[in-house]
Amino acid sequence: MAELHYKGVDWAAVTDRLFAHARQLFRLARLVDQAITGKRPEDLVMEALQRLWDRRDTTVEWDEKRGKPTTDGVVTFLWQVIRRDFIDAKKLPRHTTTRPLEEVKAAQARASAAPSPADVAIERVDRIRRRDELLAFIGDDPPVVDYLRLQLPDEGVAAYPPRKAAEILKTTVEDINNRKKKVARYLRDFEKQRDGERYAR
Amino acid sequence: MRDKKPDTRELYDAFLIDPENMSDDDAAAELAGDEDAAAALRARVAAMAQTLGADLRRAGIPAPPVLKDVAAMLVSSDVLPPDEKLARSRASARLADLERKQSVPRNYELLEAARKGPGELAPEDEDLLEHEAEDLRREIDGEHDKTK
Repeated sequence: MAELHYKGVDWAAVTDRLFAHARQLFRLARLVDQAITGKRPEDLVMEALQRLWDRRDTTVEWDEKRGKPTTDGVVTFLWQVIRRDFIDAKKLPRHTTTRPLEEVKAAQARASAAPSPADVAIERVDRIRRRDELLAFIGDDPPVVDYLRLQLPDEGVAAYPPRKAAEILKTTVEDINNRKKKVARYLRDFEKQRDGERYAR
Repeated sequence: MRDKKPDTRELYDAFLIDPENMSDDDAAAELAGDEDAAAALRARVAAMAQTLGADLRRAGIPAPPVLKDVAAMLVSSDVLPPDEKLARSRASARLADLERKQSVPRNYELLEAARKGPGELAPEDEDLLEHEAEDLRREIDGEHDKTK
């Protein structure tokens, strides 16, 4: 196999940008489904990079059909890896390595079973409370509030794709992407404020 | 409300910024105020690249050249990468960082620097200042006499 050269890839920028993405992923998960993976954003970044560079691991490889690796290209590629790993990690019970295999299998079976009506009701109340706290923090920013109300109605998580959301809100996909950026910023500031309040107590 | 329950991928697509839409400034804003965590991660990645290179060589597998570049690029942000184009881009990004206005973190108190003018000195401080100034004058005159 020809040696793949990553000349021109700024690994410091790759690391920083993946870290920023991973933090936003965790923050969003805390808003919509309180996901707990037992991992931290930096762990997912480390693992994705290691799998790309380790020749013994063939699950994450740069396909030459993608062209020459660039900083942007590597970030986009590894971002998909991180998202997939995060979703997989959410399906597993925590601390699997310290549990016997039978226990892990039983926990996975329980996790994949349908939740009870009581669990669903509790989850709904929690989700609405988290959303309303965020909306109260945002205050007067109608485009962002409209977007959040569309995507997180009382009934559940709608998660309309950007194109569909743009159609419903009678705007452009570009505007939807800008609203997503603002949501990410509000979520970050909201968590910072909450952390500050927690430490101040 | 949608008829179909969204899958996890759709859920994240609805809220997360796509990599193509996240600029370096967006990433910097995300990590602002937590630069230590970002620096710690870069150091961890650099250490991992070195360990991985050693592991591969021990297993009789040649370490890919990228591992050396990674370690060099991430060990210190002051070290410029060997590639000229990258080095220029890193240097300009560093300058932009230094020029970027930093906001005062929430809940931080601003400390005002206080400077006392001559008229605000207490009488005893005024005496002390006079005394020190006289000593200094004598010392300078002494040095001056020696050089004559």
